This record gives sequence, C-alpha cells and structure tokens, in this order.
Amino acid sequence: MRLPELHLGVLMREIPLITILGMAAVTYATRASGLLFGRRFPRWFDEVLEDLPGAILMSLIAPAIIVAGVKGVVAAIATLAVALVLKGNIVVPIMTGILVITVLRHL
Amino acid sequence: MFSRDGFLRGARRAFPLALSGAPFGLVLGVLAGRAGLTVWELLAMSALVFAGSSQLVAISMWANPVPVVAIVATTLLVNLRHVLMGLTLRPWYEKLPAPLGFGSYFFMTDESWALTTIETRRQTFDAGFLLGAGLIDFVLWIASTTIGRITGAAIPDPSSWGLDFAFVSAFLALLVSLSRGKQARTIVPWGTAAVVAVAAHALLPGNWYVLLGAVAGALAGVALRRAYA
Repeated sequence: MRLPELHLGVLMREIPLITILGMAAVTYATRASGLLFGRRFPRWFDEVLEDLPGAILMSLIAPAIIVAGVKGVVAAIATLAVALVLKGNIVVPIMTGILVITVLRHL
Repeated sequence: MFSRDGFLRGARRAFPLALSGAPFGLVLGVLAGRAGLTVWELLAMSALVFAGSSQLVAISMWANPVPVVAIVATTLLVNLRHVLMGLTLRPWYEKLPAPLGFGSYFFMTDESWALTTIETRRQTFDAGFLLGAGLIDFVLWIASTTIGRITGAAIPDPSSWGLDFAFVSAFLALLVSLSRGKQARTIVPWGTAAVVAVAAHALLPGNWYVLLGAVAGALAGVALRRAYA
C-alpha cells in the first residue's frame, strides 16, 4: 500500500502550522494547569519563574546586540533610555531603536 | 457566580487597556510579515496561542525551515508564568462547571488576569469578568496583528533595514517593563543569561542559545536568593 501523502516534502511544508499548533498546545497547558492541578507544583517552580521571563528576553537581546556591533550598542542604549523614561510604553522605544539603527547604518 | 453582568463589566473594564495594546499588535503584525509568516499563519497564531510576548519571541526565531522544537520549547518557557497566574485565580474558578472555568482560562492574559485580580477584591465577584475582559483583549489582538500584517506588506522595503533591530528594541522595552520595582535584583540573573546566551550563540548552531541563556539566568536567580535567604 502506498502512502503518497506522508513523504517528507509534505511534512516540511506543514512545519509552520505544526509549530503554531505546538505553541498553542503548550500555551493553553500553562493556562489550564493552574486551575487543573492547584498547589501541586514544587516550591522551586515559583523560584525559577521569578527571573525566567527576563532571562529569556536577555538571551534573545544580548547576542543580537553583539552581532549588530557598535551601532547596535548605541541603538540599544537609545532604546533603553526611551523605555526607562516612558515607563510601560512599548511602541515608542521600538520606533526609536529602528530609527537610530537605520540612521547609523546609512551615515 | 458567573453572569452576563460580570462578563459585560469585564469587557468594559478591559477595553481601554486592550486598546492601548493595539499598537504593539500592529508592530508584531508588520514584523511577522517581514519574517515570512502568511496572513493565515499569523491569524492562526494570534487566535490559538493568544500570548503577545511569546508570539514576538517565536516570530524573531522564525526561519526557513522553521525551528519547530526550539520555538515550541521557548514558547513554553515564556508562558510558564501563566501557571502561577492561574493558581491565584483558582479559588473563584474551581467551583464553576469545568467548561466555564477552563474556557475562561483560555482568555487569561497578563492584562485580563491583572484586572480580574483587582476585581476579586470586591465583595461580590462575578467570575464572568475574566471571560469578558479576555475576549475584548482577544478581539483587539486579532484585529491589530492582522491589520499590521496586511498593511505592513505595503510598507516599502527600506523599513526592513532595521528589522533585526526591531526585535532587539521590542525585547528591551518588554524587559524594562518587567524590571519595574526590582532593578537591582535582576543584575545577576539577567547578566548570567546575557553571558551564557552570547557564549552559546558563538559556540553552538541553531537557536539553542535562547533556552540555555534563559535556564542559566533563572537558575542564577534561584542561587542568588538562596544565598541571601
């Protein structure tokens, strides 16, 4: 019996969708498990979570700044300064970073 | 209690906050287009995942072929905070019929959770609140990300000059809002994350530097607190 639909090419084409469904599954699992399991998580779980979100963002940022070089460092400092002044605003710091790096790259 | 009134009250309360999040959705939509996600892929992601920071992280890692394992694992780490958020609301939702409780929990975002937490301090808390607040969030999130994705395609190519940096700026801005009220304590964990991530990025192929840096940073935070406990 032939299963023509199951060759690797088809699977490769569906990887974006598989990724999105995987993301959806793990995300709903995080939402539901607090209600489902209650206080059955070990104590270290809370401790690990304390700094995890910031550590993830930092892990994404640091290598990207290194790759972007001196211009990247300057643009990052500008972004950081604007973000610290406009507490809680996300969009204006993003625009600042894009503007500064674009200008620096075309000087 | 779970009623229409609570639902409507949640929706009204969440509207201004959801609207202020719309520009972030627009930016995410534009970046998703540049990263190669189709309109349908982004729509599916916004509707099924419905968690902004994790979507931004996933889009920044998006490549051809898509690194499915790294993205799903990172998404899990980014969204683990939902577990604790869900625990704090549990006393009001465990008594509800399961479809209402677990249905409402799908709509738990940072914003709808925060508003609901404030609402639970009232004498008469209506559990419909979370669903109302979350659904408004949901509708505006889908609208803003989709509009950003569609209109972003019309922006001429020069804007892609700063694309790599748009993510760095966005993550920096998110990091600053995370650090509020605990700046000094974050130096060790976040510094560890930066050092480990840079080293792993230089030495290892693929996207593993994200997970390695994240775990190292979180564990450094635990070690620090234990040392000073």
